[in-house]
Amino acid sequence: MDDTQVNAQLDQMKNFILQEAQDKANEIKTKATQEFTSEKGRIFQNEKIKIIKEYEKKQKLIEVQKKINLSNELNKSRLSVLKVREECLRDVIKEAQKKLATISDDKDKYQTILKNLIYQGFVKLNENKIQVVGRKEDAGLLEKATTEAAAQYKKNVGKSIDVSVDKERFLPQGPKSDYNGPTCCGGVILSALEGRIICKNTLDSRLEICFDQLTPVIRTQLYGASTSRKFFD
Amino acid sequence: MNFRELDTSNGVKAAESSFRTKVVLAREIPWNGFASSNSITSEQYNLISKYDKHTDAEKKEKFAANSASYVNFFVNFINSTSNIEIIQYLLTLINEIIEIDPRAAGAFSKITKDDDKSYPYSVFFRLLNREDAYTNLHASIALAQIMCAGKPTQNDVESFFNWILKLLRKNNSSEVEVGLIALQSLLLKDDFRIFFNNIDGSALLLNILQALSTSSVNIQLLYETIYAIWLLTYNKDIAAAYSGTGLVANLVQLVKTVAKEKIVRLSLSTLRNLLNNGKSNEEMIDNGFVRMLNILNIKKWGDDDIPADIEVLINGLAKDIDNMSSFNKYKTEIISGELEWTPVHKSERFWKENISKFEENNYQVIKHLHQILKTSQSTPLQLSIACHDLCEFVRHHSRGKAIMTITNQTRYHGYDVKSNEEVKNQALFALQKMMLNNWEYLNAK
Repeated sequence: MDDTQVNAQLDQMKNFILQEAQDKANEIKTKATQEFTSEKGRIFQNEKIKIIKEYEKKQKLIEVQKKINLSNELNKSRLSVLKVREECLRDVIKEAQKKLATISDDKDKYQTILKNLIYQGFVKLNENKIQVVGRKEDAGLLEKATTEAAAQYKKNVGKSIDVSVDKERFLPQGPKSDYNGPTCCGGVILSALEGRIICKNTLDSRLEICFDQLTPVIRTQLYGASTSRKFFD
Repeated sequence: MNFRELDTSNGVKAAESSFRTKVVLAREIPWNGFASSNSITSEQYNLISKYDKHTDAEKKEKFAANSASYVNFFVNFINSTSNIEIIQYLLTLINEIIEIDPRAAGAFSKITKDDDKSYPYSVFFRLLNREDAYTNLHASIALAQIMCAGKPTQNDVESFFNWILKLLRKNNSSEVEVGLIALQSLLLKDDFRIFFNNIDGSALLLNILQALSTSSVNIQLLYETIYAIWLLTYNKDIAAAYSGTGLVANLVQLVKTVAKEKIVRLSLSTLRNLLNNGKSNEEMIDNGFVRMLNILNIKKWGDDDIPADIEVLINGLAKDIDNMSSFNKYKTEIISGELEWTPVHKSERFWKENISKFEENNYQVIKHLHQILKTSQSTPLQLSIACHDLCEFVRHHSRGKAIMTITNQTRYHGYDVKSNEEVKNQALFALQKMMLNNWEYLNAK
C-alpha cells in the first residue's frame, strides 16, 4: 500500500467518523429542541392557568366589592330620603306653629277657645280648687273665660268650683319676629293642690301632642302609603 | 435530480459533506470583480469581504451586528445570479450561518418583498427545480429551517411538502434521502408534523421503512428514514396513530437484526416515544420485545442514551405486564422465551380456564412452544417447560391431540436421548400422555 492509498483510506475513515458524529450531533440537537419546546409548552400552560386563576380571583373580589358598594349606596340614598322626609315634617310643624301664633289675633274666637280649654282642664283635673295661669296679654280675656267655663262646668257636671287666675306668674309672650326667648301661642296651664297636679293646655303643648300622635297620618298624606309595610293592626 | 458531481455511494450526507469542503468552499468568489463592474455596491462589497473566508466566530459576530443587510444581500444575490457555482457557494454560506447561530433562520424569514408574497421562500423554491442535487439539497435545508423559524403561508408549506413527497416516492435511494434530509429539518416544528401526517406522509415513511427492512443494505437511508419517523412520534397523536400499523414490529425486528449502533439507538428512541401511545405496549410485548430488552440491557453501549432508553422501556413495559391477566402473562413469558416454573404452569385451574385462549392468533402460543423445542439453543429448563406445557395443552384441549398431530408430533422422540434427567422425564411424560387415547378414562379409574 503506498502513501496515497493510505491517505485515501484514512480520509475515508475520517469522513465516516465525522459523519457518525454529525448524525449523533443532529440527534442531540433534535432532542434538545424537543425538550425545549415541551418544557416551554409546559411552563406556558402552567403560567397561563395561573394567570387565568389570578384574574378569576380578582374578578370575584371586584364583584364582592361591587355588591358591598351597591348596598352601601342604597342605604345612603334611603337614609337621605328619610332625612328629607323628616325635614319636610319639621317644616309642617313650623308651618303649624306659625299659624298657631295667629289664632290669638281673632279675639272673639280666641275667647271661645280659651273658655273651652279651661273647661276641658276642669273636667280633666276633677278638683274643687284650681288655679289658672295664662299669658300676660290674655289677662283680660282670661277673667271672662274662667267665669264662663266655671258656669259651664257647674251646669254640666253639677259641681261648683273655686277657680282663681294667677296674677303673679304668667306664661311667656306670643312669638314676635324680633324676640328669641321662650314663647307661647296661647292657652292656659291649670294646676290643683298647690301645683301638684298640672294640666298643660296651652296651644303649643296641644300641637306637640297632636304632632306626636298624628305623625303617621301626616306621613301617609304627604308621601302616600309605605310600600314596604306588610302588617296593619 | 442530477447527482453528477456527488458520489453517493456512502449516502447523500457523506457525499454532500466531502463536496462541500473539497469543492464548494474551496472556491474563490471574485467579489472584487463584482464590485469594480458595479454588480454589487461598495457597501455590499464591504459586507461580504469582511465576512467571506473568515472563522465561524467572526462570521457570527459580523452577522449578528448587521443581520438584515447580510440576509438581504445573500438572498438577493442568489436571486439575481444564474451562475450555479455562486449559488452553491451562497447556499452553503446561508446554511452555515444558520448552523453557527440558529437565530439567523429567523432573520431570513423576516425579509419581505412588496410584489412577491412568498418571498424569500420563492427564491429557494426556484432552486429546488434546478438540475443540480447539491443546490436542491441545500436549498431545501435552508427552506425548511427558514420555514420553521418564520410564518410561511399554507400554500408555500404545501408546495414544499409536495416536493418532498415526490422525492420520497422515487426509486432512486439518493433522491429519497434528499427528501428525508429536508424533512428532518422541517419536522422539528409540531405544526409541520401534523401537516405531514395529514397528507399521509407518516404512512409513506412506514412504507419506505418496510421496503428497506426486508432488504436492509443501505444503512444510511434506513437511518434517515427512522430519523424522520422518530421526529413524527414526538407528536402524541401521530404516535398513537402508528399503533397497529406494524411500525413497532418493524422497529423491534431492526433492533434484533441490525448491529449498527446508530440504528439501534434511533429505533429504541422511537420505541420510547411510542411507549404508552395507542396499543404500542401490547405490540411490543407480542413481538417479544421484553426478552430483547433484557438482552440489550446486559450489553455494553458506547452511547449513554441507549441504556437510558432501554431502562425507560423496561420499566414502562413492566407496568403493563403487571396489569395483565394470568394468561397474558403466560403468553408474554412464552413469547419472550424466558421460561420459568411460574405457578401457572402447574395450576390445574389455569389450564382449565384458559385453554380456549390458546387458539388465539392461530395457535400463536403453541407455535412458540414448538419453536422452543425445535431450536437447538434452548436450555434444558426451557425444553422441559415447553414439553410440560404442550402435554398440558393436549390433556385439556378437546382437540388437542389432533392439533398436535397436524403440527409436529414426531419432534418429541428426539428429546428422550438428551442427557438432562429433567428434560427426559418431561419428554417421556408428554409422550405418554399424547399416546394415550383414553387417558381421561384412565384417570377416572
